[in-house]
Amino acid sequence: MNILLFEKLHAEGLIGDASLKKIKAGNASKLLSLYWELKTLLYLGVLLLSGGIGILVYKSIDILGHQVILSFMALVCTVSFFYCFKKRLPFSLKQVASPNAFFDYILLLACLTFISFIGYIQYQYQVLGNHFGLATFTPMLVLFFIAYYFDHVGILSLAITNFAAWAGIAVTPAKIMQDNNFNSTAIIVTGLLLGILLIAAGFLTKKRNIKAHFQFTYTNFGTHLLYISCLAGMFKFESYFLLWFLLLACISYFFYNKGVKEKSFYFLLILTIYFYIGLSYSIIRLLFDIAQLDLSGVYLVCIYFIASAIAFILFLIMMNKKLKTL
Amino acid sequence: MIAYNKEWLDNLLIQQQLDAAYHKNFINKEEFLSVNNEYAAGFYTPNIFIRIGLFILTLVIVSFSMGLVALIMVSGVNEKTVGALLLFFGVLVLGVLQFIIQKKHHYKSGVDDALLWVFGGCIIGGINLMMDISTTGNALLIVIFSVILFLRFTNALMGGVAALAFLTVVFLSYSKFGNFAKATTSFLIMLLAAIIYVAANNLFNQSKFRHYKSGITVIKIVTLFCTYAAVNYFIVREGSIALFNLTLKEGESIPFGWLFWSVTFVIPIVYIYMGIKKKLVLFLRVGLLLTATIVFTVRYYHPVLPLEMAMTFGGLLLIGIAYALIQYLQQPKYGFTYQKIIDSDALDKLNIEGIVIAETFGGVKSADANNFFGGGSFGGGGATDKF
Repeated sequence: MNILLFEKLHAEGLIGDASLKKIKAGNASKLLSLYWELKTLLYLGVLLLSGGIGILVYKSIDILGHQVILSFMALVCTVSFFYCFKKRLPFSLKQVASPNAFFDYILLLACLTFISFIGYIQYQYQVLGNHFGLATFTPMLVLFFIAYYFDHVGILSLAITNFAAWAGIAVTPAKIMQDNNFNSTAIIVTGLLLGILLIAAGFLTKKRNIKAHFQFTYTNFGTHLLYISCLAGMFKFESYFLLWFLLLACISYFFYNKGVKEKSFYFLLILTIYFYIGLSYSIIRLLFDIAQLDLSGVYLVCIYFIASAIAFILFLIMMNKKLKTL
Repeated sequence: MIAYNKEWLDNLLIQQQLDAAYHKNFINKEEFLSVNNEYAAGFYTPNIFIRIGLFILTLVIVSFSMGLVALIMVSGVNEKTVGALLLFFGVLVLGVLQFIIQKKHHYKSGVDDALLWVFGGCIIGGINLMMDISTTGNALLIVIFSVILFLRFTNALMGGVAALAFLTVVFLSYSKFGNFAKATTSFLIMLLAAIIYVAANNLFNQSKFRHYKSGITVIKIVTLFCTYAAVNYFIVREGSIALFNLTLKEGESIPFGWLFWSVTFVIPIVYIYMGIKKKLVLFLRVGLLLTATIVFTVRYYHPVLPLEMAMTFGGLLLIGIAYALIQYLQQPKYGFTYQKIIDSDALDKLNIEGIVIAETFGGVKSADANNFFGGGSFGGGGATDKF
């Protein structure tokens, strides 16, 4: 901090004597926080270790045999869970801090080995059978339980990912567009339902005050899934695109209210981007398919984009003002 | 020289200091508010998410305006006319940028950011379409324009672009002077990057350049990386093969290989050492990142351990080091601590950690197709690229 500046402010009478003293004292004992650096190291460590063990296990199946590997995984898993169970702070419906810096990572390690373990015995022995997606359903239940019991948002994200996988959809940010074939009706419908379900879960989480800080994770996954599925529906069922646009408008209205109520700039941005894509698609369809325009349509499209972008800029500027004064 | 209202920029600097003091509870709320009131800045700077939105929408407006004009003049389009059109647009965009800043007081609003980059793109693209320019000439053009734009609009990334482009110009023109030059290019670039770093570091604390602080920081980061990249064994070896047509047999080393190998190892360690000794976060972070490149460089030429063993041991080592340091720094020691210093972080709210975990570990394969809705194929390929 710039001491000269604060001395000047002090001389102008804007800052009291006591505060200036605190600033000078605070400046003398300058501490450098290595919090994020060490967290990143720890995270990278867990990432490398679990990845390395994974490959190691895969490569040494022939040498060690299934039982040895399975017992090794079970051992790592049990020890980690035991540690977390011992160290955990008492359960509460509110946010619970981690007892120490490693707790979260050991829990993560435990969950990851658990998932591998289930996957392994399922692949090898089909213990859970081939019906009703039990092989993904069981770990999902366990992950949800762990996320709530030990209060771990990362595990909750894993659980949601598993939940979506059980329903047949990949929802991690990079894979949501890659691994899903949004041309299939089943995926679109599943995506819509799942999105609504997740948003409802987020809503209840907050309303009932059950781990209210989990709300954002639920809502965030749900929002993107819902919007992408809705847009996919719009592109797939071309002839009914206006109906889908109606749905899009309803969703956007819902998030508009939510964003204003929670003062969330993030949701306003998200809804603006998705709604803009849907609106532009509909306008282009209207111009070329319904009105059957040719070159004059291209002019109109250009003018539409310029005008609409200006309108949305004004909207965002207005919202920025509105949310700040709330 | 700076387009923005300088008095307000100064007030912003005061407000930043004040924010820090307020977050650490050094000053009370009345003091915080009264100083903020006294030193108010009238800039229009919206929330970061709104800024992103405005950035995208401004790009939409500019590109479709250009499209519209191009459509109207659709007859007689060739490279030259498009180039002239781009230059014309560049000038127009610059005018709008000036207007937005001086009359509407936009500062980091997304609109000014977008127009700045569009202007640069239009000018460079336009000149290239109008005449034939070599790569070196282009790099030189970028240096000239990015320096001017950096000085006038203080955009931090523009400073980084200027530094990178300058090093590129030197690299391209120096290596043309025969074999001796080719052999010494690496060291010249290393030296030059280091000199730029020292110069930038000197300017950093001069009050004359107080409005360029974030830009200078970017320049410092870029030059720290370049200092290392210029002499990293992997980059020098593969770069010489690709750019200077050096012919090496598989596994053969470059001339003075030992020298490059030693700097490959030494520089990151020096960075970390200086970071700890002088408490420079920048050196510490860059040094830690570069340590990873040491590992990659070594493993690329000498795969001493199978990958999975290296990962397992590396993971164990990292966890061990982090464990030891976190235990050690529970109480602040030598000016370092494990405690978070400022809590309110925009990134914290978005819960980046959870998303990263889901992304890196959540590689669960979707269940088989025969679930509730009975069927549907799960191929690759997305439905839209507009995400």
